[in-house]
Amino acid sequence: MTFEENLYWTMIDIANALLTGTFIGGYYAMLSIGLALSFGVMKLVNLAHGDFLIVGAYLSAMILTVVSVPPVLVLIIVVPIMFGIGYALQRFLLNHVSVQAMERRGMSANFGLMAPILVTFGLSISISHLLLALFASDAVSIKNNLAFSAIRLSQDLSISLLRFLFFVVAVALLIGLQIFLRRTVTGRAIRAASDNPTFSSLMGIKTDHIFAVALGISLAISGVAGFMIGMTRTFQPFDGPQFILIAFGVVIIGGMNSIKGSLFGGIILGIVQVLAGTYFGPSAQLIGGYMLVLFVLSFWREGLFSK
Amino acid sequence: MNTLKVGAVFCALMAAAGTAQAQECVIKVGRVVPITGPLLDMGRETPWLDKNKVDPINEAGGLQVGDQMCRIEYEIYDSKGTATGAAEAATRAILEDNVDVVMAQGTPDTTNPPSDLCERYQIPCITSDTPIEAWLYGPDGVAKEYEYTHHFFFGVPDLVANHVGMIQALPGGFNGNIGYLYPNDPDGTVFASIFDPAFEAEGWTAVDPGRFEQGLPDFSAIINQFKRNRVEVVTGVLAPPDLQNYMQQAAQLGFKPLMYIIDKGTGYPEPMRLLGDFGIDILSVNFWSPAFPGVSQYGNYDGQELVDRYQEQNPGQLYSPPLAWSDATWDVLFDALQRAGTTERSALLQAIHDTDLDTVVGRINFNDQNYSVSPLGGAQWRRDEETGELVKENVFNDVYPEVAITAPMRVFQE
Repeated sequence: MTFEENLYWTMIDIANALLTGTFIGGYYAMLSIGLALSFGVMKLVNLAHGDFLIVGAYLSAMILTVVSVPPVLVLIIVVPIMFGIGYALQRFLLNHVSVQAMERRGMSANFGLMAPILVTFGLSISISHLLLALFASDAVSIKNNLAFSAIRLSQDLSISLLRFLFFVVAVALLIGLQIFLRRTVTGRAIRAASDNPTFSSLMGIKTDHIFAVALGISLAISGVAGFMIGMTRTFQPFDGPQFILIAFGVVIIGGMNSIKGSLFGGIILGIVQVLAGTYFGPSAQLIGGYMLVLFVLSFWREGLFSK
Repeated sequence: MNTLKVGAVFCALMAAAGTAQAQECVIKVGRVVPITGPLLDMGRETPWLDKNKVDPINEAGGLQVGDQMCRIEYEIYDSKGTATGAAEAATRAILEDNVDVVMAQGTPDTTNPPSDLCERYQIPCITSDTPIEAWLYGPDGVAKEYEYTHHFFFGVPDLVANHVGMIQALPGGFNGNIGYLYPNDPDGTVFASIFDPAFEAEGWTAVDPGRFEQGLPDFSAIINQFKRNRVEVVTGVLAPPDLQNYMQQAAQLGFKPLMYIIDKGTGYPEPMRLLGDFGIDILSVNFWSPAFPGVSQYGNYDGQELVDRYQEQNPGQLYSPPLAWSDATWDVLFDALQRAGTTERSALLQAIHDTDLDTVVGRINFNDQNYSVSPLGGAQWRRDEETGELVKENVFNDVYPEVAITAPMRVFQE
């Protein structure tokens, strides 16, 4: 190869890593916002988060087998269903085993943290087995023509059209969520309940209801993210855990309680993965991401974008 | 008192006679196949095939073995697609249900544990749908000495000859640059170690990005490496989600080689349906299609008739190769039982060993190491213009000319 060719490909590699990494970041952010939200508000480490993403994916795919509409329209049904599941789950189960509930009962803080983790771990196993019983282990995906389309910037540089759209949706959702949390009564109540549940309930905020709304929103966003999973790849009942790994990575990098941190965390993780893959071979892609997570965890325990 | 004794003896005699009369010839078969789990594509047709194979025989009064009619009883034991699951399934069949014969199929994970258990408990076992070498060699690389288990499928030397031959047969030829997509799993590492020297011996240049983890989020760096090195043939073993992800990103980056030879999910219609038009023209080993020669001796149909019947009774389903491997396995058992003329274990085992039988997967004839090499071909996915449905055409048969060519080989999506 000539010097010019080498130079050209060096530039392409860097540009591709930055572009591809950034746009994967939008998708990663979508996978993680729900987790960041439930941790930020309820101090809930939702180990079933990945499985709820898959539930969202299955819901979307199943609705599309019944009605033939443009895929994106299923969100009109999927988002409210997921909100309902989240609301009911928090209201009737998780509120009784939450950190706050354990404190009220005078249990030790350690137990208070462990109880919801154990409950959601159990949920995770139950959900994946339920999906297996309902849908068997056939790989499913949402058929669409967009998955193969791209925005071509040059002969050797392009952005996946779907990932570009996901990025836009992620940014819009994050802005919307920020406005909701700052400007609306429910949003303020969520923040108040998150800061101090005891005092906020003394001020007349129904924390049980507010927490349930928060998990509802968390799962509604996960429903959208699950739809995105189905649009880009095949999925099976037991695929949840691989997504929760990504989500944990993003949340650790971005900051445990920072919602906008999800976007930046996602972008950083994406770029590091693609760079590692480009320069150290594809086997370094995932390892590179995990090393970054360890690195952040060692030096910035609160994450890079924590409040 | 005496009368009582006599009466008791009489009753005992009657009871003994009763059981002797009720005792009929029954062959119990334990089928170990993946019904759930990651390999379920390989067991999808088993329940249909088994029912349609065995029911007509039982309805006709049973299978003629020597001078008695034997009823065939079978039960499907789900291997769950894992080695542990297969071992549990086979153990249940052998120890709890006392089956006379075990029949297992579908990847080393589901054939090898039952084979080993059959050797231990001395039960005749027939296995297929796993490359011979993966069944024959233990983890130490030494060939196992099977006494009770017999196996038929294609072998690795044929697979290598087939893939090298397909690349040589690429219409218009290519520049010699081959890109690898071998992941870091048992299939990927084994394929890389087998094919790399074979391609090198042909004087071709490998562009190997290295082994990668399954579920790799991004293939763009690999695709750019292929582009930079002017790769024209891409070969690998990719699980369906990875294949889908790769094909999407290759399309997005405008990378279109002349040929893809990808094994694994590509042998089955379901993953290919999910890929849609982007899976058209992908090549893979053809480990069975109706192009295979042979006729079933129990039912008197060829592969095409079997496929037609299956697809007619299961609307919306496309056949996959295990349909034929199951069919042939039953034929081997029925034929051996009839030649043995008895259900006695050692006679049956000897009869299985002496098999020389025409089946829908070709002729089966076991050698001293208890295996029979079956034919293979080169498959390419097309779309039937009338029905719009996917079809797996056989486009290459240099290694086994008896497997018919059903369409000419095409350059990838030209």
